[in-house]
Amino acid sequence: MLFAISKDNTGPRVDQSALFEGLMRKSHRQAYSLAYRLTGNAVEAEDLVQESFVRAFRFFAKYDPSMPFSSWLYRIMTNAHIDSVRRKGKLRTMSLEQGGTDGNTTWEVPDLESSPDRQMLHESLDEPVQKALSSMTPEFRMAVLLADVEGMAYEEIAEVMRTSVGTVRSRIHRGRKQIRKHLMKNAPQTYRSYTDEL
Amino acid sequence: MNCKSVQTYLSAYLDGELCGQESLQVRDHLMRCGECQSEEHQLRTLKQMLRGLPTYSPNAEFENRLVASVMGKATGRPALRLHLNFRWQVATGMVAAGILIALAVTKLTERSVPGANALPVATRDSTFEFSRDQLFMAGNDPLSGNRFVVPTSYGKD
Ligand SMILES: [Zn+2]
Repeated sequence: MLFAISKDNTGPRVDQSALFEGLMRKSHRQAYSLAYRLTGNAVEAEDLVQESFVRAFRFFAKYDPSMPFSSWLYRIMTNAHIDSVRRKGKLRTMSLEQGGTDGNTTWEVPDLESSPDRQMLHESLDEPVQKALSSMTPEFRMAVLLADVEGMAYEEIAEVMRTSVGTVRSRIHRGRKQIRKHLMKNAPQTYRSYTDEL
Repeated sequence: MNCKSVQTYLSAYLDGELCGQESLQVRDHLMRCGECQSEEHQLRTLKQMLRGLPTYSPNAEFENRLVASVMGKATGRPALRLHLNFRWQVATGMVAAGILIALAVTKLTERSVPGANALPVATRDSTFEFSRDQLFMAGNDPLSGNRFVVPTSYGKD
């Protein structure tokens, strides 16, 4: 009897589950990388990815396939991340111990053609950049990451963040300037050696 | 365009997000202004730096752990529904029983019954569920954890 009641209200059906699982397996690595940049450490990145997929699955019936799945997922992740930051009540500055490599996560340098020197510079900048990101508001952080790490267009970002292109433009611009300011203040030598190289 | 407006456009300029006219105006200004040129160079470098950051990969076992956990929670979902429905049923049952008992007891003793308090609590619970679903149907940011508040943070800055 109880089963009969619940049948009307069940979530995604079995084929939907299989479809979702496929999408999840395909997109989880990229989602994790973004989550790591958002949260600054492996534990919270895993939590954020999991929370995002749980929410995504719950609302999967509402997913409009005309939007790329990753964009839709990032929209959910944006909300989940903002929720989590707000829940903590304050912007937590990531602790030194948690930033950078932590044994739980492996590196992957995307640009294979870059020189070893450049690669080293990137790695040495990774921690200061991560700290700069962590010091930003979640909205600015997300906008910059979607533009510069995910390489999305402003219009896509606006759709993900459910805001106007003008707001996205301003968040990205101000966000980048905040990162620069942070680097010049907290890692001036590394930053300068990078900029001088170019 | 003066320096100030050029500089606010620089990120969008670098990202190729300005319309042709604006882009030409910025480029025109950059050719004539050293200060804005240096700002443009710095922002370009920063963008390259961010693009070149290494990607993080999860542990090898994360994928299966994730799938198990998400799908596990999902298959647990009908159970949750079941639980809610069951609670709803129980609540309805309790209300009905309460009314019957109340009627019976009132008839017998002409006094009120303390158990009748169960009614508003149960009703409030289901009302919560309903209003949440309605928020969801209305598209009021169902994916946000703030289920009862329409977020106002977007588009404000
Ligand atoms: Zn100028």
